[in-house]
Amino acid sequence: MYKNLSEKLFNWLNKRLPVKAFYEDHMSKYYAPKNFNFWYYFGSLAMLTFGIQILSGIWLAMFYNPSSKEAFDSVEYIMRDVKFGWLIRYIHSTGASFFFIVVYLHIFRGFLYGSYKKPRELLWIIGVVIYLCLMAECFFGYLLPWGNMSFWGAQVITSLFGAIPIVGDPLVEWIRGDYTVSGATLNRFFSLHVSAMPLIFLAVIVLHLTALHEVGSLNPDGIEIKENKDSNGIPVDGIPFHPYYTVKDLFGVSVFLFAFFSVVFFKPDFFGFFLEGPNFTPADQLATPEHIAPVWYMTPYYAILRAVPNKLAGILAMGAAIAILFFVPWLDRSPVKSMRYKGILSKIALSLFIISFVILGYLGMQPPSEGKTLLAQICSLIYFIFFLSMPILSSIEKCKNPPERVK
Amino acid sequence: MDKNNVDIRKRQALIVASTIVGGIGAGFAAVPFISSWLPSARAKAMGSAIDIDVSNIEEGQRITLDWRGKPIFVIKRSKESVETLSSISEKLRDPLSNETTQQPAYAKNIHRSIKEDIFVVIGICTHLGCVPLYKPKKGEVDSSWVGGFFCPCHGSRFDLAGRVFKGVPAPCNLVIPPHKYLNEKLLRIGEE
Amino acid sequence: MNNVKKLIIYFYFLFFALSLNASSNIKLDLVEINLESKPSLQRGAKVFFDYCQGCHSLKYIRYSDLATGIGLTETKEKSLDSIIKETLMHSSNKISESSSIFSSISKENGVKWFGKMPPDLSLISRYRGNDWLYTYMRSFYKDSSRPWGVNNLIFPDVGMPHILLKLQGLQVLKEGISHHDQNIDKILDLVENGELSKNEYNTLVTDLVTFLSYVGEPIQVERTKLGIGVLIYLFILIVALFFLKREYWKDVK
Repeated sequence: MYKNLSEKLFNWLNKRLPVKAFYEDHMSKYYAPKNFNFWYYFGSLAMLTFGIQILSGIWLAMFYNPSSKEAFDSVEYIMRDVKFGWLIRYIHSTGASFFFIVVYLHIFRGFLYGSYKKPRELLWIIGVVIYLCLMAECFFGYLLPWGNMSFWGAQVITSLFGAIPIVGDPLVEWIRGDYTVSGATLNRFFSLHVSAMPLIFLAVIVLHLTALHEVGSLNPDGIEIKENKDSNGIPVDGIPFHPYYTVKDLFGVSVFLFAFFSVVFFKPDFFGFFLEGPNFTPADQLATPEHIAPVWYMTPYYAILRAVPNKLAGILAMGAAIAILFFVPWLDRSPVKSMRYKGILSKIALSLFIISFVILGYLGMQPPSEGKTLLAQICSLIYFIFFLSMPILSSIEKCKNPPERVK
Repeated sequence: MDKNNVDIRKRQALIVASTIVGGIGAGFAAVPFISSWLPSARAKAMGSAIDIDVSNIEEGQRITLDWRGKPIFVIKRSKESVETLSSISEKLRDPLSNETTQQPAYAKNIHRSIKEDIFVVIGICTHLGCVPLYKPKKGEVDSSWVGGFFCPCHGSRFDLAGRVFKGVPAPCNLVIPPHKYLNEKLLRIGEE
Repeated sequence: MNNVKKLIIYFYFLFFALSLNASSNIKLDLVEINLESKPSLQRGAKVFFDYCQGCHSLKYIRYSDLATGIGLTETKEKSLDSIIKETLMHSSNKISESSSIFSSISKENGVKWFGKMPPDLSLISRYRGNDWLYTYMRSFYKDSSRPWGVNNLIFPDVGMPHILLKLQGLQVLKEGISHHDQNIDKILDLVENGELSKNEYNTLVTDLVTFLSYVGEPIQVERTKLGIGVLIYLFILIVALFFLKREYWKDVK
C-alpha cells in the first residue's frame, strides 16, 4: 500500500514537472566515460564547495554588520559570542581558498586532456567566465572583514583602474563611491558579494552543466565515446552517471571533507595564507601594512602586474593573462586531445607553464626586489609563450595514435 | 559492463549503512547552524542581572529600569497601600495569584513581592503589551480608584500589587520578574 | 617522470625559500605555550592586569567570560563576582563583570605620551604570532635617543616603554654583532639585573603570551578537541563510502 501511494504521488508530480525525463536525461541514462580518473573529481567538488560557501555565507550574513564602524567588531562578535560562529566563519574562509584549489586543479585537468577542444569550446569559455566570477566574488568578499589588509588590498586594486586614460580617475571614484575606499565601498561590495554575484554564479553554473550535458564529458584518453555506440545507441565505453558516478563522487566528497575539516579545525589560518595576520587589525587609513599582497590565489596575476614597469602596461598584461584563457580552444591545434598522446613538446610546455605559474604565485606574495622582478618577468614570458606557442608546437610535434577504446 | 552476479543484498546493506552514517553526519552538521540562532554570549551579557540600591527610594516613588528590553518598575509602597491590598479581593480576577506563570513562588502572596514595601514588576500589560501608567493616588483614574496601574491602550486596570481587575481586557496579573535581595539595600533583578 | 622530478625539486626549493622570515632580520625565539594550563593563564592574566591594562584594552572579551576561561572559580569564602573584582578589575567599582575590558587611558593622553594610542591587544597574538610576542617582550635594550630610553630589536623605534624593565633588568646592544638572521641572545647583553632571573622572566613572558593567545582566540582548545571527533567521524564515512563505491564498480570492466 505504501508503494502504491508513493507511486501515485510520483505520477501526479511527473505529469506536472518533467521529473522522470530529467532524472533519466541527466542521471540514470546520461552516459559518462568509464575511465574517469583522479582529475575528474574536481568538477563535483567545485559544486560542493560552492554549496558550502552559500550555506556558510547565508549564516554569516545573519550576524555580520556591513557598516565601516561595525564590520570588524561584528566579525569578532561572530568569532566569540555567536554560538559556533567561529566554526561558520572558519568554514567560509577555508572554503574560499579550497574553492580556488579545486578550481585550479579542475582547470589543470582541462589542459591535461584537451577538454576545451571541439565541441567543448563554449563549455570551456563558460568555465573561464566562472573563474572570473570567482575572482570577483572573492575580491568583494575579502573587503568585508574590514581588516587592514582588506582595506589596503581594495585600495590598491581599485586604484589600478586609474591607469586607464581619460576615464581612469572618475572611474575609480565611481567604483569606490568616495575619494578613497570607505564605508560606501564596503556597503556596495557587501551587496555584490551576498546578492548579485551568487545569482550570477548560479546562472553560469547551470549554463556550464547544461553545455556539458549537451556534448557529454571527454575522458583521459581524449576520444569521443559517442562515436562508438552499441545497437541500443549507448556508448560502449559509457556508464550511466547514476549509480556509478554518484557513488564515486560521494566517496570523493568524503575525502575532500576530511582534508577540508582538517584545516578548519586544526589550522584555519593555514600558516597565514587563508587568514592573514595583518587582517586581524582594523582598517587604518593612516597605516599601510608592511607588505600589501592579495590573497594567495590571486598572487600569480599580481606578480605579472608588478613585473611590467609601466602601470597601464602592467594592468593590460594582467588582463591579457586572464583573457588569453578564452582563446585556448583555438590555440591548441593538436590532432589529438589528450596529453597522453601528444608529443614531448606539449608535455614540456605544460610543465614549464605550471612551474612558472607557481613561481609567479610565490613572487606575488613577496615584497619586490631587483632579482625577484627579473624572475617574475621571465616567468611572465614563459606564461605568455605557453599560450602563444601552442598553435605552432601542437601542429609540428609528433603525436601518438589515440586508441579506439578507452584504456 | 558486467551486471551478472550482482549481489543485491550486499548493495542494499551498503546503501543502508552509508545512509545511516551520512545521516548522522548531516544531523551533527545541522547543530552549529541551528545553535547559532540561540541568544549569543553578548545577548546574554546584556540581558544579565542588574542591581539597584533601594534604600533611598521615597514613598510612592517609581523607578523604571531596563532589563532584557523590558521596563521594570521598582516602587516603594506606603503601609496604607499595602493594607488596602487585602480589601479589594472580590474585584480581582486572580487575587491569590493562582496563575503560576505570572510570578515566582516567593512572590505568591498578597503583596506579590519579597519585601512588603518594595514592589518589583514588569511594566507590560498582559493584554497586548502596552506599558501601563502608574497611578498610585486614590481617585486618580475614577472615584473608586484606590491606586494601581492603568493601561491607556484598552483600559485594563491593575492594583498596586499588579493584580488584574475583573471586567477588563487583560487576562492575568502583571508578571513579577525573578529577583532577590543581595543585602538590605541592594536589589538584584534577573536572578533568584 | 623527468618532469615530475623537476617539480619535486622545485617544491623543496619553494618551501625552503618560504620559510625564511621575510620581514625582519632577527630570528624569532620559539615559545611553547600550554593553553590547557589554567595556572599559566592565570599568571599571565595577573601580569597583564598589573602592568599592561593601564594602557592596553582587551575590548573583545568580557571580565566574566575571561574569568571563566582562565579557570577562576568561586570558593567557600568568596563568590565568583568578588574574585573577579579582586584579581582582574583594578580600576573601577562602577563597571559590571559583564562589561568588556577597557583601559583607563584617554586617547588624548595616549597620543601625548606615546605618539599614538596604545593599541587594543585582543587580537595581537593573531596579528603578530606567539613567537613574535615572546621575542618582543624580551628584546628591549637601552637607547638614550628614544623618549623612554629604550628601543626594541624586532619593533624598531616602538613608542612603548619597557614596562617590565624592573623585572627583566636592562639590556644593551653588543658591539659589532650583525643582526642578520640572529637570535636576540647573541645580540643583547644584560647589564643591570632585574628582580627576576633570566629563566623566571622567560617563564613570565611565556605566561603572558599564553594569556594573550587565549584572548586572541578563546575557542582554540575546544576547537581542536571537536576537530578530532569530526575527523574520526569522517574517516568512518570514507570507509563506508569506499566500500559502497567498490561494490558498484565491480560492474564496470
